[in-house]
Amino acid sequence: MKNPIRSLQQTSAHYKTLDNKDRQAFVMDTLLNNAIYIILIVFIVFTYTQNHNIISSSSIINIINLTAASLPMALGIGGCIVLTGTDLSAGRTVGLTAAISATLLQSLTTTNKFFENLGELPIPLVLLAALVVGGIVGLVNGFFVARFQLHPFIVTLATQLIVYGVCLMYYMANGNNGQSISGLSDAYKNCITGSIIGSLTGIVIPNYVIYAVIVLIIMWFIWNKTTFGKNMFAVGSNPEAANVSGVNVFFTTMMVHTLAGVTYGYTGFIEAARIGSNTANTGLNYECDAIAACVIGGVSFVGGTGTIGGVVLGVFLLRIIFVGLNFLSISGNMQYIIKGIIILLACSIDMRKYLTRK
Amino acid sequence: MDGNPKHPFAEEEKSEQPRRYGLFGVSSTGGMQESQRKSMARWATAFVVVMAAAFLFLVVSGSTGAAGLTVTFDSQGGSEAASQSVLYGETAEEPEDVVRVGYTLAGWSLTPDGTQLWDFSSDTVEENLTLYAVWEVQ
Repeated sequence: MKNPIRSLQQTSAHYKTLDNKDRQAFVMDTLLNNAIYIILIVFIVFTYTQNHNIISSSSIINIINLTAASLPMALGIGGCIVLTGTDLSAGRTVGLTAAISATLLQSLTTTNKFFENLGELPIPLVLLAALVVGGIVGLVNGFFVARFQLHPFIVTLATQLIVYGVCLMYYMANGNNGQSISGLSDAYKNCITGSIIGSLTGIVIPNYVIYAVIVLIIMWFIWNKTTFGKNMFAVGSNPEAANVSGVNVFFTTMMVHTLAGVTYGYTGFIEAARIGSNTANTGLNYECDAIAACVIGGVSFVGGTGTIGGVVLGVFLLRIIFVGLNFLSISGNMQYIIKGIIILLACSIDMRKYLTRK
Repeated sequence: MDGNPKHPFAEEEKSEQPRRYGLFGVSSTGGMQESQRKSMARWATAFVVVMAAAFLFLVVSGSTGAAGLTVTFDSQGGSEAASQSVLYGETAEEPEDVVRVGYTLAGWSLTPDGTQLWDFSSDTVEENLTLYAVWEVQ
């Protein structure tokens, strides 16, 4: 972790050594590189003037909850983007693992129970099942990307379709005929959406926020403190050089995708309880938000750069924008356009940083 | 396992340049001339400015144009009530002076049959909606 005060001092010392023309360029660079944060501040101030409710405690808790729900997935996809890849299968994998979690943890008294004769399963076992299924999808992605050097875009496009097909068939199985799956067991719902913090302090923050923080710590550790994490960045910035320096590129690529798959499995497990009533459309387009969040948070598509802190910030900023657009009562159609523009803006900044890097 | 198998169709003589696969296969930024790089950076700068401006413009125009969600009142035979424009997450105001000969107003409902009564003090508006008057015979 960089010390923010120290780095600010360094920046100002650097600034003093510049002549006038360079100073102008430096200010311009700083403004442009942080354009997204600047317009975000303007956006929040504007939203606040229109609708004071955005800075109320319930709205802030809402933003935190939504951030926690989509963070683990963004951390997984972030790894793929560091390898200059992407992952389109994320949303559908969430859908499949959500379906599996929901069907295995329905309450015993539910009518239309998916597995009629299934007793009450231990929750960690179901979590493990979701993680394994997600991991297998990731492993398949990773294998094809690493073994045949195919672009992840096309590999994950294919697995996305396969996973969606499997998911639809799963919903048709056991006479369920595609109905939504609800009536989850109370233990499961309490485990995810119940609030331990709420019962202790009165601030109702659901448990999945705590779990998201745990996932965040694990991912931070993997990215920053393990050989695997260092290898991931080496492969992302230059696979040939990494290979020459003795990094196992095949293994690293495969493991990054598998790890991403595991985070989708986890997200599916959480989403099943968070949403409560799951259909085959659960998880649709989740990957778009996650990829957008990564790009906004400075995980570059050029490869090899990105931080966990950046991803967290990206997810958080994207959520603030989405919630803010609702508070401004901007029509849903217009919201899509604005989201698209935000992503283009983030990409332009990313590209500009890469091109002006000396 | 050598870890990094060559792509079967990879051209050997190009391999001294760093291999970058961006969204379009091998990215154009890999072995770029300095002048190309500068011109592309200028384009990127222009895009940053244009997109930031477009974002702010759309947010401001979108929010002032829409001016909130619309709550429409269907008085179901009573006197007319004006529709209201309400911001997301805020409450609507109960229309005054809605009367119908021979009836008293029992409240407003989300459904025409009066099953889901709307509480103006606590129910917040999160989408465009129509409220129907619920009448009781005097």
